[in-house]
Amino acid sequence: MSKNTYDAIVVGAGHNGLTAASYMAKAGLKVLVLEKNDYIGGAAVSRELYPGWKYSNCSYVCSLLRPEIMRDLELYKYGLQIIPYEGSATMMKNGDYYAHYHDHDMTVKSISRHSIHDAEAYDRYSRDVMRQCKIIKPLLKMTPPDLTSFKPKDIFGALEFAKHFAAKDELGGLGEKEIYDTIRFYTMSISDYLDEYFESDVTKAHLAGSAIIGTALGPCSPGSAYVLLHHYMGEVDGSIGSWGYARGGMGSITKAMSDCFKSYGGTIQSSSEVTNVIVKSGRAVGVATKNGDEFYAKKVVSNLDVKRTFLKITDEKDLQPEFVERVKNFKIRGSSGKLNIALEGLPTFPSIPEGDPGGNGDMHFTETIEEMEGAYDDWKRGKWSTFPYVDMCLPSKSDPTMAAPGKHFMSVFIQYVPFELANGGWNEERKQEFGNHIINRISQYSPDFKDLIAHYEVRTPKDIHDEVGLTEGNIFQGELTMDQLMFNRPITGYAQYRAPIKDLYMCSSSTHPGGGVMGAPGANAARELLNDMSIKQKGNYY
Amino acid sequence: MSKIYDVIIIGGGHNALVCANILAKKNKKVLICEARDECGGLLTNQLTNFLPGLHNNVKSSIDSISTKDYSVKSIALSETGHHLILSNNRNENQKILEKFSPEDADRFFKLEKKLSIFSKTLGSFMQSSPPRVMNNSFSDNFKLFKLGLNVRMLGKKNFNEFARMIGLNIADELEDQFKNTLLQGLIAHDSVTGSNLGPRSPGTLINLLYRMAIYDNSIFGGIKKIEGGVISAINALEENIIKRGVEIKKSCFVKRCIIENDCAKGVELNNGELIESKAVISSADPKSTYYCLLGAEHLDTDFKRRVKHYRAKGRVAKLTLILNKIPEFKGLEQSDLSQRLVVAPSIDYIEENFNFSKFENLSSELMLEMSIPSIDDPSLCEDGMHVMNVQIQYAPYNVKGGWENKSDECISNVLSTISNYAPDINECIDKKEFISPNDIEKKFNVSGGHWHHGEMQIDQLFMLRPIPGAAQYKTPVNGLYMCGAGTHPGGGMTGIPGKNAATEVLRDL
Repeated sequence: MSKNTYDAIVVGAGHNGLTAASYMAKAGLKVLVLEKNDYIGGAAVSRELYPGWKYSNCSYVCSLLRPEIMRDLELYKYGLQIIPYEGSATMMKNGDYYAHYHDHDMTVKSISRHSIHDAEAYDRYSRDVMRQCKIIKPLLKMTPPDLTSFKPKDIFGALEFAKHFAAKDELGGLGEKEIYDTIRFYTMSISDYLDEYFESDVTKAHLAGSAIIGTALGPCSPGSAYVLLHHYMGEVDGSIGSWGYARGGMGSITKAMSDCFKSYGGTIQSSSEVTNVIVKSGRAVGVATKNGDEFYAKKVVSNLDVKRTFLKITDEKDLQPEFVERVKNFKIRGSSGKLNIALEGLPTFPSIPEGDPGGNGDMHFTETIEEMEGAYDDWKRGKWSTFPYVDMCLPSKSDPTMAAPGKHFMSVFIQYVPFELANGGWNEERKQEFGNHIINRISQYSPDFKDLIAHYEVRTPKDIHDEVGLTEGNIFQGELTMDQLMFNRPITGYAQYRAPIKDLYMCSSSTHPGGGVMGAPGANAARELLNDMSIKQKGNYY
Repeated sequence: MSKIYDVIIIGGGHNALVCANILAKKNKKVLICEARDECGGLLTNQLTNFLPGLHNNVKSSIDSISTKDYSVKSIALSETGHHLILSNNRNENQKILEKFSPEDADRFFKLEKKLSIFSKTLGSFMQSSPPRVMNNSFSDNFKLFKLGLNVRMLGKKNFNEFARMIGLNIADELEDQFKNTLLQGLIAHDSVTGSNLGPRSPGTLINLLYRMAIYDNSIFGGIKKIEGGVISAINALEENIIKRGVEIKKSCFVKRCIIENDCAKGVELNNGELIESKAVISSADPKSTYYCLLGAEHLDTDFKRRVKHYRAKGRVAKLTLILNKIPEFKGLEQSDLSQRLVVAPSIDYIEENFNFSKFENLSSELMLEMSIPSIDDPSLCEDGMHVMNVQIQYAPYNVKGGWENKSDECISNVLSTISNYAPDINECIDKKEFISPNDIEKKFNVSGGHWHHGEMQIDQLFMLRPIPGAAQYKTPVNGLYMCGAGTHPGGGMTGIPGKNAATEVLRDL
């Protein structure tokens, strides 16, 4: 075996690429991971961009990472710790606030300050959403069946898939009514869905936030209720729907993964951008990098989104024109931006009482669904939102490793920011204008915030596209709409992690079950690949 | 109480008439109580310009009606005067589309062919009452199985496409396929009319498929108008059922449905009169049926909540203009003006309109569908005059400021929009009559004033329409049925809800 020959090559060292690589290395394969940047982690990174502060400058909170993967790859052994946070809050213009807590009863009490009706409805709401979480959980680690195939494997797969929708659970199981509820949940807009439970604007706005993060849908667009589920189905330490911070920033996740990978003898090579997949007589046999190196392997796994995989690093002549057209029409729209801020001290938010756990988690300003929908309309017109939905948190409040004592790191996620501006492209000036717009918006709720800023970084969808490599800066590597979910993800008929070229696999978030720092696409892809090589696997994931 | 009817139908819309006809053919004694002084419900010359016409399956199960209908061309207006004129003639369409772009023409026919396969599949689901799931009934399970099989039998490629398209928004598909923005606008218009969705809202493609399923499985081919207006079709239906012995009471407002032991026993009229029957069918919309006719006390909490949240806020207003001369449209001949003229020049134009209506505002440039039917059919108005019907999409039910104050603004917005295409429109007008969604609610007793008796979105379609668990033309109360557009498959002049409801009622009686 020559030096440059491997069993498998993974293109891209994001969390899904590393997950897939670790599973393959664990199964005994000789695996190489190639990364274009000089750091690894893709969108799950934390880097010291300003001396003294660690920036989780892409993804910033953790919940979706599958516990089975954490156990199989022993990520805790490699230093991964998830610190759950206790609440979330929406600050209101009238100086009041609206908060949710980890504790259900505290949340109900808090809601009742705004509406007794909503506090009562919250039980019903949590029960119904929790039921959806339980239905979807087992589906996350399944390979979507090919519904058009008549192979026994696919027919059983389809039945297995359907079974989970009809299965009994400890909540009483799915009867006729619950099945109707499920169909409705998957197709409704979050605004209509919440209207069925709540009356107060701020309750609805606070909950609807999860349904628009990262997506090019508005709260009134049908299908947005599912996106809410996508943010609820995670867990921290077995507590479903909870979110937490990775100690040391999101980079600790990918760092633990890469340590695990290396412990099984894997190789990671950074600053090696793959320019094309080498295809010989219809099979992927290796990759070539920008530096002029060529690496050969039995299997090639792409962690790039489906557009980059097939339009950039694969030669069009190796693919069917129809497939290429489908890939070109794949919807992957940048709609989110970020501001990462190093602070000299803890900013005060007068509307949230001091010590209230609501201030330890994600904080928002959006009080009505209309405001959110208006923000979406701005995006459709090619502008950043005048009143954006922000998801703001201070991980350093719970995690002292993010900044020096007394100093803080603040991550501000901004929904909606277009990839292309209507009045021309992004440039340095516009980027600063956008940054200032957000900073001014935050200052309206925190008078001392501006003076505490030591350094900040503005990330537009364009930056995420260019640097991280997510096409158009879409954080899910593809819209989470019905036409791109489950057996439709990424391309209907190609949802089994195999590309149309033999020995080429996909393990990015463009595949089922989709985006978020979840790892499931990587683990699912590795399982399919190992099955194809007839290698026996062990672990919680199977 | 002297006489006992087999069935009382509340409301005299076209679905009620179809339902009555089928029941009467089976020798049932039927009474129709219509609150207004004429039958037809929302099908009046004033409200409805163009129709698919009763579905063939409906036609074959009722007495034949002899009305003449004509195919209509669809014209997407452009401010430049280079309009896009499409008809039911494939060759002509091809030539016209090729003039804009040969690629578009090719893709249009491919898309239409693909969509027509899907709309036929959907159409096959529309002909009987939707199955219930987990009901442990053989017939329901068999229906579900057949349904799955039908889709599966589309073949691999089509199945995949179907799975992808069912939840898709129309804008994405049109932008992927066509360059011509007029064509995009025209198809997008047809995919959103009557609904509370914009072309970029997921689920609009299924609206188009529904429309195609009732319009001869064609995008523009099945659009028709009836000689003498829709009212002549209603009159024909009415004549037929009277011949069959059905009684029709007009100006007869049903106050409530009489319920004894959880079973519908008849109706009580506004004047206090009680009429007994073995079954009652409501052709009213679901909210009126459950809240006004049945009464919330007969429903359990969960069901009441569902009814409350049934979405049925109308988004369509109507302006009828009496003209003393025919306005001149740039680039159109007079004979074209009796066709379907659509103002929806691009997807963004429509989306922007939708953006306004979402927040209960009115756009100043509106999306319109209009026609001057009197050019072909002078019987529609007085000698020497003409009538122009304008349908205004995205006129919100709860407009900010209230319709009593906003009507004039809306009318002037409509006229200024039209004047972009016909600069002399203002000089031609003799009289105007405006009907807002609120007027539709009051005048036609449709709560919310929605044309389809409720939003046509996936969560309110098929086995979920109108209320999950009560979607089989039945209600939680025995003997009370529904047959209006609020039931499966939905709105439009098809008669299918009426026909399917009649089948259910006959089975039970």
